[in-house]
Amino acid sequence: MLEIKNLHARVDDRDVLNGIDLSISAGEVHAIMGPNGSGKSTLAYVLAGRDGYEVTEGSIHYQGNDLLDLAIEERAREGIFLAFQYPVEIPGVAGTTFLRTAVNSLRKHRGEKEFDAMQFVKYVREKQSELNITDDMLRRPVNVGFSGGEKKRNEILQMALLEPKFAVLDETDSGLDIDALKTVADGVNTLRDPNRSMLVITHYQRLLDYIVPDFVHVLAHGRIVKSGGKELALELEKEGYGALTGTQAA
Amino acid sequence: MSRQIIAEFPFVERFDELSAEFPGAGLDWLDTMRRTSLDRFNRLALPSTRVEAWKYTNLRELAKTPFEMAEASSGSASLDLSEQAAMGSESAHRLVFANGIYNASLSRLETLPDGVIITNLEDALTTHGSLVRPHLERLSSLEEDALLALNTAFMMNGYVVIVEEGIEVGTPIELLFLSDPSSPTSIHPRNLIVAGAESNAKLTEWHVGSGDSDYWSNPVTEVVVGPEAAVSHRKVQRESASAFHLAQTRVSLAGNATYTGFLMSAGARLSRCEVEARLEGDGANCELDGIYLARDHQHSDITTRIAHTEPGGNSRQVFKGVLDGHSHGVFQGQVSVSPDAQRTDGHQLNKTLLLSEGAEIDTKPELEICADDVKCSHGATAGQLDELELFYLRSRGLDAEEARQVLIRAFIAEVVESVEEGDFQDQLNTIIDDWLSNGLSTS
Ligand SMILES: Nc1ncnc2c1ncn2[C@@H]1O[C@H](COP(=O)(O)OP(=O)(O)OP(=O)(O)O)[C@@H](O)[C@H]1O
Ligand SMILES: [Mg+2]
Repeated sequence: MLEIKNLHARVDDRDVLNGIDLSISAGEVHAIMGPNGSGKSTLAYVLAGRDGYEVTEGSIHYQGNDLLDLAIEERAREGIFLAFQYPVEIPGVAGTTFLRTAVNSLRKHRGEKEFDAMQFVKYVREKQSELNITDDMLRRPVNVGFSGGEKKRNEILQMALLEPKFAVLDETDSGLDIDALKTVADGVNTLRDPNRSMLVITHYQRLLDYIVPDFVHVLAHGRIVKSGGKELALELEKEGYGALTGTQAA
Repeated sequence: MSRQIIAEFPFVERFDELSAEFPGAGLDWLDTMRRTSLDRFNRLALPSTRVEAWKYTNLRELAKTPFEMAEASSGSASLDLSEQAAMGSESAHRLVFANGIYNASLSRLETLPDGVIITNLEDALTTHGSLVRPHLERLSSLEEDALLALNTAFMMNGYVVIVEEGIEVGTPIELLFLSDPSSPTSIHPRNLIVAGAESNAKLTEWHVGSGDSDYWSNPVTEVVVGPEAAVSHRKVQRESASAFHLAQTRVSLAGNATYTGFLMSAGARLSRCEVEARLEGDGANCELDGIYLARDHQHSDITTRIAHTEPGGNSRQVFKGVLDGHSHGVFQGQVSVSPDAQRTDGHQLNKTLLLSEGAEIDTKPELEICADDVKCSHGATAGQLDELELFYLRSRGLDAEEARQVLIRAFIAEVVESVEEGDFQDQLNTIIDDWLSNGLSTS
């Protein structure tokens, strides 16, 4: 589904990704862990296509096509979704309006009929209650005045509504209390599907108890320095990144 | 460079010949007032950008255009009246001026309650001359303003709304100024609103032009709000793409009077909407909100002057603008508080969204405070659309254009929502949607 080869990327004249190779097949969940500043969010942004994240070398293929040729919204319409580490507040835009516009632009792209306001409310209602998102939260402007945990739940609601094929979750667990973590993990697990892949970025092994990954990778200095099965996360929790990044520096 | 721009407008040179046809021609006091004002205009000439109040708005191009005067025969011009469907509502009182000439057949006056006069200036001069005269004279003698003087010399028809003490005009009043002359024409409407003590009226002015007809609209509107009275006065400026629109609204408020002004300025090649409000009674309230939208090489100037001269007044202003292309916006907001005007509350906010590198805003807030017990604030910002917000929206599937539109609407929403929900709010949204759908530059 996703094939990253020798990916180098630069942000603001700084080389942040220095040769990433990663291959993710349909239905797989991969976890990425790694120290602060190692380039995890940068990788997520490059996948989503954010301006200013310049790929200087290497390639990304998604479903056999060159992903880097696609604009941000084209990637979204082809099924790429990024749950932001820091979800963006958009004053003046009501949550429901935003969600409906997003869902409808994808439906239009797929040749489906757009939802009117009533149909949309019905569509949202079920997923909304699974994620403990109140009507009031949706009436308010997007993410404005939301707590950290509410913002993260709102990201997962968007994922549930947009039904992506490939989702990147950037530290969706940070800032969540224990119950919310469980709610979010349940939300994500409901979406696990043989045709849907995920890249889960996290600092904590705990999330991976709930969302059990097929593979775990360690990113340091913009490179994958170690890959393994889910037990790698446990190992890291015990020993830290010191040994791995030290190796890297030598 | 001089402080004056000397223009040789054909219509000005033909004053003697034209004056026989003016509304109220033959009334001595009016003939004299026109003549004095003409002399004043000739002495003052148009202000150049050397004059501080006109620093950012240049009338040079206006001065070069050979404007003639609209004549009675051009009043039946073939206006695209389908446009009217987008304006106003079915049930309102309506006066229509086509190229400045009153059009009785398009106008509509529902039964008026006792104590309410809604008419055109020409008729008012004949039937209610003694009511109208003091106002016209007072404003015209007041100050050295070239455009006011020109309007007074050449004042054509306009609307007159007079509401007696204690009367509420429930039905909204609509004033339509439609223009589409085929050659460069100057139009000088003179309007008057007088709201007696504890009365209440709601008016909406539409200034609409078709295609790119070449004209200059120079309306002057005087608003007198009596004690405890409330006037809501909305204005939409969608003149043609070649038009000049230089409008002045002069408001005076008595004790506990309320004036709620709203301005949507979206048309014209060059526009200036000037509003002056004088809070001359204890506890007067003035609320002014507005939106300006400009693209290509449009020039849009909003100039406000709020004068607090008595204690306990409130004024609140929120103006937001969106500028694209090579357009130029100007916001000049002056709030002055006299020594006697203690406990004044005066707030002003101006925000502009610049959509392109070529767009420009000059914003000049001015507070002159001569009293010590006052609460006054002003704020001005200019910025671009937020890259991260755009990215967030696009990452959810909205295309770049849609994402920009969503954020622009969100930026102005606060001002749109400041008007009462209903027809007018819907109409504002339609104007904004129209404007957005004409395409934004992609830089
Ligand atoms: N716009 C930018 N300009 C300059 N440097 C940047 C920019 N964005 C990211 N960087 C740098 O790139 C490096 C990688 O940042 P990134 O956000 O990808 O780290 P991360 O692995 O997600 O860290 P964290 O665990 O703290 O979220 C950091 O050193 C950061 O300072
Ligand atoms: Mg990060």
